[in-house]
Amino acid sequence: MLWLCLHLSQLPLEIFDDVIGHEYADDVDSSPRTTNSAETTGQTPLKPTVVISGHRIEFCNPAALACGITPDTPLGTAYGLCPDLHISRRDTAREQRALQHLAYGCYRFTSVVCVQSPDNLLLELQGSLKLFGGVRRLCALIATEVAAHRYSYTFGLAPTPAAAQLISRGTVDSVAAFDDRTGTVIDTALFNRVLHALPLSVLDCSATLQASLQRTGLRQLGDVLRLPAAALGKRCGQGLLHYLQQVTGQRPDPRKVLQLPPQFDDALEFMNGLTSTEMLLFPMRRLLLALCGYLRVRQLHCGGIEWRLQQQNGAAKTIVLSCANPRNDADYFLSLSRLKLASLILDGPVEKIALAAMELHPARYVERDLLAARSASTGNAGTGDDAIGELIDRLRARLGASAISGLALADSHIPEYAWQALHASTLSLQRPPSTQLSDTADGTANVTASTAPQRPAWLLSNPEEIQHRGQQLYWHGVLQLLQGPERIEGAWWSKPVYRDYFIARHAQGAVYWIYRELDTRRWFVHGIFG
Amino acid sequence: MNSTLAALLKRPDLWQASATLDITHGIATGYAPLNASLHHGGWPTGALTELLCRQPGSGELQLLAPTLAQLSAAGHSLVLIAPPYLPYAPAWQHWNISLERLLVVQTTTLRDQLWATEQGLRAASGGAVLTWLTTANLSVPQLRKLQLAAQAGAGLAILFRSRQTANQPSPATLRIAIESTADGCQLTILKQRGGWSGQSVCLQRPDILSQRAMPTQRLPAPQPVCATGSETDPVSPPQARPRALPLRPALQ
Repeated sequence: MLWLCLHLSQLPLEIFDDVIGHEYADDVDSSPRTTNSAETTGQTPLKPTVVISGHRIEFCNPAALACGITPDTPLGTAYGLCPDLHISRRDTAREQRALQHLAYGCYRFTSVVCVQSPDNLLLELQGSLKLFGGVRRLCALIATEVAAHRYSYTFGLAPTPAAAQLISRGTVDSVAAFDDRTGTVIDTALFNRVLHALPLSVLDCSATLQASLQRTGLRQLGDVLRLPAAALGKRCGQGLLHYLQQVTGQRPDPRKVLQLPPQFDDALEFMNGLTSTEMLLFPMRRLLLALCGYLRVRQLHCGGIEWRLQQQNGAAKTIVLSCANPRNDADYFLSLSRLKLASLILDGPVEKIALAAMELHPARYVERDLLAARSASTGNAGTGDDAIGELIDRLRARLGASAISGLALADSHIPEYAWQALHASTLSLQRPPSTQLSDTADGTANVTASTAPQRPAWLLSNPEEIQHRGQQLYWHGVLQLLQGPERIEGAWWSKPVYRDYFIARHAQGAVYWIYRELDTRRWFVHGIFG
Repeated sequence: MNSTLAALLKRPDLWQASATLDITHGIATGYAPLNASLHHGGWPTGALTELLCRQPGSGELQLLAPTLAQLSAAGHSLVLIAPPYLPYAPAWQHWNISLERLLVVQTTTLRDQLWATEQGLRAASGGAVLTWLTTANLSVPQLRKLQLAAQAGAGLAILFRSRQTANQPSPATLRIAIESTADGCQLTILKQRGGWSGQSVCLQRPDILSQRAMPTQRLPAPQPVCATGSETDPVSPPQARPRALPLRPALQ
């Protein structure tokens, strides 16, 4: 077993970073071992921020530290040191959610992901080493994933989860002790040196126990581990003994593996409120990353998402985005959201952004042609359908769902009911698999002397009345009848239709489809032959 | 002088006769005489084609129907952007255009329409985008943007524009003016990149639509019952001509 523990020591602070309004940039730090990676990525300097619980300052960001504020500084003193100090109250529920989101993201590296409150994430890597090409590569990939969430972290590698947690809180790296390919400890001496050098303060035990250990002159973990087990158990209780045995792997240490909720519905809150649509994009991206991690874990694709923007004035705005083809792609959802946001007018600061996945479908993975070059040259219909699906999504996001429609025939002989518009949401689903190229490319018009009556290419949604000028019909010019009549009547049960249809030619050459209502004897233009 | 000339030659929108064209063949139009006149043997792909007509119904859809049918049969999508009227499904079906491949986009502003056209062209990938810009007065940069999008998408890009724009410059690869005549329409090639312009081709409408006018005595007379304005029309009062009987009696 090879356990990786991610220790997010600054999590209580970093969950509030969104409010500060980061520049939205995609710089990713991929070095495997980074401490405080968020600060090294060259972001704009943050406002001095502290997180308090009760009246005690618990966490300070670097800007606050630079002002001379440290944890346990009295609040009054802190204000004196830095008048524009930003204070956030600690929100453990939100920390847990952030940890959960990160766990979704890490699930693609291993199926054993454990969320350890308050700030640890445990991943079992042994089974994934072969797929991802070794310990160091896998660690680098995980580092990229965490960097995408913009959390600073330290990590520890160990054969047991408890030891990994301890090492992640220390300052020395244990990667060198492991074989890159198999993930087993090859340099036991080095690993033990790292483990034994840890200070006792990293131990998960009560403060009184820690104090009593300190009093006996024990400083490092190694000092405690070297003591005879029976004596230590008698003096400090079985709890500590069992814990130390779990660290060294002498006792089993079962962990609760990540369980997923049946629906994805999550929200981020902002105390100060976000005022511009550009500022919304960063938290939106964070939520979308969580959604995509969730979808990946459950092997689902999502056919639409819903944003709810709760404003401070009580109003709420809902943005619904739907995809022609269900998918799992955070960047794609974000680009659609950006299109929608461009036309959104905010009338107040947004204090809460909620994201819900609307339609969850089993993931459909497209099989690509191995010989990609060949399929590209023949114009692969599969990729064409993808492109048209994305086009529909983009058009729908900007122009609204009602602007896009498809066409279909309807079973009626009455002209205006003989067709129907298909709503955009059904467009992609009813597309049949494409057929092969028919052989009409020889360059001659395929004019069939069909017995079916001629129908115009354009239909006027509201028939326009034709004037009479003496014996002549007049609609933007004199009309001359070419053919007719074709009597169409019916629909007596709803809106009776009694019409004689004629084909008429305009003086300038255009050909119209006109009819005379038999009961009122008025003439109308109903269609135009293209 | 030389430097000016050299600067001019660097312009990407200046076509040089020595330049080899990247368009190797077009999509057959379905009309042999037109294919013969077109430099690429058909509609150019990945380039703008402008059809200039006075009004909808000049025969422009009849002209495109075989091509659209062929594209839709091959599984490509056809996008209609801001069509002037409702596309009437039975007629399109009659032309063997598979309706599942049709996408109709309605836009309210020119800005939206140009955006939608650009998106459509980029995603065309072998399909066709038809956009009706008959009322708009487009600038060359706007057209140029569409031209670039058409190049990126490599599909068929048809712009319907008004006849008045014939004299305005345009970066389109092919420009054809359509004039409807008594029995069909006349196409005049105003411009085609890499080929000669000025050819004129006459296309016949299908028989039913190009037949002669019905004999006047068979004309059903307009009834003045509800017709407004016919009795007050000073140009041709209804009493001036003998009234013919209606072809069929109206339902009572």
